Amino acid sequence: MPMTMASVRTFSTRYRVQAECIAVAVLAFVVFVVLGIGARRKLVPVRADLATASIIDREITGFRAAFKPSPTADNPNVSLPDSLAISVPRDDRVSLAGDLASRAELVGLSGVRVSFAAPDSATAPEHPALFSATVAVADYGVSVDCSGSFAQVLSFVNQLPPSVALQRITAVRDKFGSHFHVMLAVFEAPTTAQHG
Amino acid sequence: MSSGRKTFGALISHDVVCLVECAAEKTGIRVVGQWTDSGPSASINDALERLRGLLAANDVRNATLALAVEQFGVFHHVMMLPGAADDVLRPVVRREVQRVFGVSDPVIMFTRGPQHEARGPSRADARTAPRQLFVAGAPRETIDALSHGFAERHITVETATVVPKAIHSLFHACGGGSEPTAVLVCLDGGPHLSYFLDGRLELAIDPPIALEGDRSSIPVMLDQIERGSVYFRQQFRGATATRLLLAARHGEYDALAAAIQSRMGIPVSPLFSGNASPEAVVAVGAVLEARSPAPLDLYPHPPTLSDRLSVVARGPNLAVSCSVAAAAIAGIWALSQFAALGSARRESDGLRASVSSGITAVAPMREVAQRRADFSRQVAFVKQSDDERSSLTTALEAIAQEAPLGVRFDSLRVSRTVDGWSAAINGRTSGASAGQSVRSLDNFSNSVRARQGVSALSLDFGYPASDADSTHVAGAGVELTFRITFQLARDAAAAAGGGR
Repeated sequence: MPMTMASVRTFSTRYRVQAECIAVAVLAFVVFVVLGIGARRKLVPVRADLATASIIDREITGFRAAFKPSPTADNPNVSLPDSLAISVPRDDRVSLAGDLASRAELVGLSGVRVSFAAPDSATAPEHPALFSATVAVADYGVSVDCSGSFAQVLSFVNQLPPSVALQRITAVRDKFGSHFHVMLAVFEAPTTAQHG
Repeated sequence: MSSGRKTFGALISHDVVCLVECAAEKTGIRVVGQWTDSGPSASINDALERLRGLLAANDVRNATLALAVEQFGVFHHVMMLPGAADDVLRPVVRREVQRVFGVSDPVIMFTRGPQHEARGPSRADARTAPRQLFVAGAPRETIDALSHGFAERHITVETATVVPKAIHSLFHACGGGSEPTAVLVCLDGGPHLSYFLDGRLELAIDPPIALEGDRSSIPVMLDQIERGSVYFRQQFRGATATRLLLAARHGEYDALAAAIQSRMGIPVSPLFSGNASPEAVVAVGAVLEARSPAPLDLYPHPPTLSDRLSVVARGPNLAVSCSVAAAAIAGIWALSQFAALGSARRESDGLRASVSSGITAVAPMREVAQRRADFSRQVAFVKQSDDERSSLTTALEAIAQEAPLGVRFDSLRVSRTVDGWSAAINGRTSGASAGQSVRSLDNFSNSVRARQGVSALSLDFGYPASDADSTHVAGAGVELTFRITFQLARDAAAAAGGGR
């Protein structure tokens, strides 16, 4: 028998208590379903967070289990030697220039002239990525002009400190000898010195 | 009989309350003991209290009890109606009872007796064949009083029936038979007379009205038997009882039996063997009635689970049940979702706290690890820088050394690119002839091209613009100027540099 409004009205009149019970049950069903769906929707991001937190917790646990302390090597006062310094504070750039001039003269180059210049147009060198400090290529370069032999300038290149990177070498020979122009990029630590 | 529980039967009437303990035997049922509390009861509650007193006096606990109730408004009736469902028969029976007994709203129960098909074989139909109905009823107050029962003594009331139905069960239990039989049970309240034909209870006659405490005499009982026999003969086509089963007090049994035999001319035999009083016999009949497949039971038993289910799963209640069940399932589901959400949140909070404390705890370790990583990266970077420079200088040195005799460089430009280095060499080559000069230049360019990591090599050559060039060597033969450009891969240069 098709359900019509008239039949529903008849039913609700004849079975008043049952009709009220059905209405309350339907209302409760709808409320429960809506609440349940809402809870289920909230559950999805919570579970995602839970999974993420679980992964992090496992990583922390694994890290703590794998970590082996070394009282000597982990002493904060222990640092790498200056020869391994990979950056130069801006305030120390003059010292760097002096160091470069000394190294050039030490390998036998003559007429050494060190000067600061704009960064070279050549591709910038890759700079190291560290956790404790940001190392970047400085907004200035260092040019070294000198005279001597090709072997001497190659030796000079080999002895450059780690805090500079070779950008360009230009060698010109004339009747007075060979003249070299070496352009260097400087790694600079904007905040703190990177002496290991 | 219920195993492990004692079985009791009782008769509750206005004049006497009788309790009987029964025991089942292979041949039937045996009276173990009987206790009687004689005297009038003011009400059904008074009678029930006296019965409870008998039960307490005998310390009866955890037992089953079958009741036969007389008076207190309890009535009985025998009807013949076509076979039909209870729902159909119930209003018919109710109207008939209201008409006959004039009770406005009684509690009515009925049970079916044997079929009595009077139609011919062609019209016979077992579904609609006339069937005997035993009807019992009582005022609602009486039934309510019964329901306040015996729960405190853990006594289960199996049935509460009427005296004629108890006699009916007793008649069948004692052999019965199809012989027309009269049964006379002489209770304190008066003699109950029943007539059986072909084993069916056809007629049940209540005691005549008498004054309280006025016990029926033998002549009165004989007159009642005579009137009953006449009515039985008239109603059932001349049927005449050919025997009489008697239950009477021990002291009056013999005199009454002799009087009946002499007056009616029919043999008289005891309804129930032994020394049981008529009240005890009726109580035993109540126990037997309780054991019958379809007892006539006025006791308001609480509805069983199947009764409740059948009520719930029928008609509009079915829709109510379904909707309530759906709501309950939805509620349980919603609760489970909330429980899961709460659990996940608690777990997440706990894990977050653990992660937070873990991060705090590993912060020094992390710092150390970062320092270690920084050390490693610095060392690796320094080594990489050294390798890069070393490889470049080695490659340039090798190129310079590979230049054949007569080739000299005027300028060299090396600049950093994304993949390595870009180099350009300007120079001069001289030879005895043009062919020799070109050959020397070709050998040099081939040796450079053959180096690992060298790519995109380009060679241009020409002749000096004028002899006035300051680098021209007079008298050295043919001299060419050249320009070689090439790319030197960083990795390849490193490999080549390391190998050379």
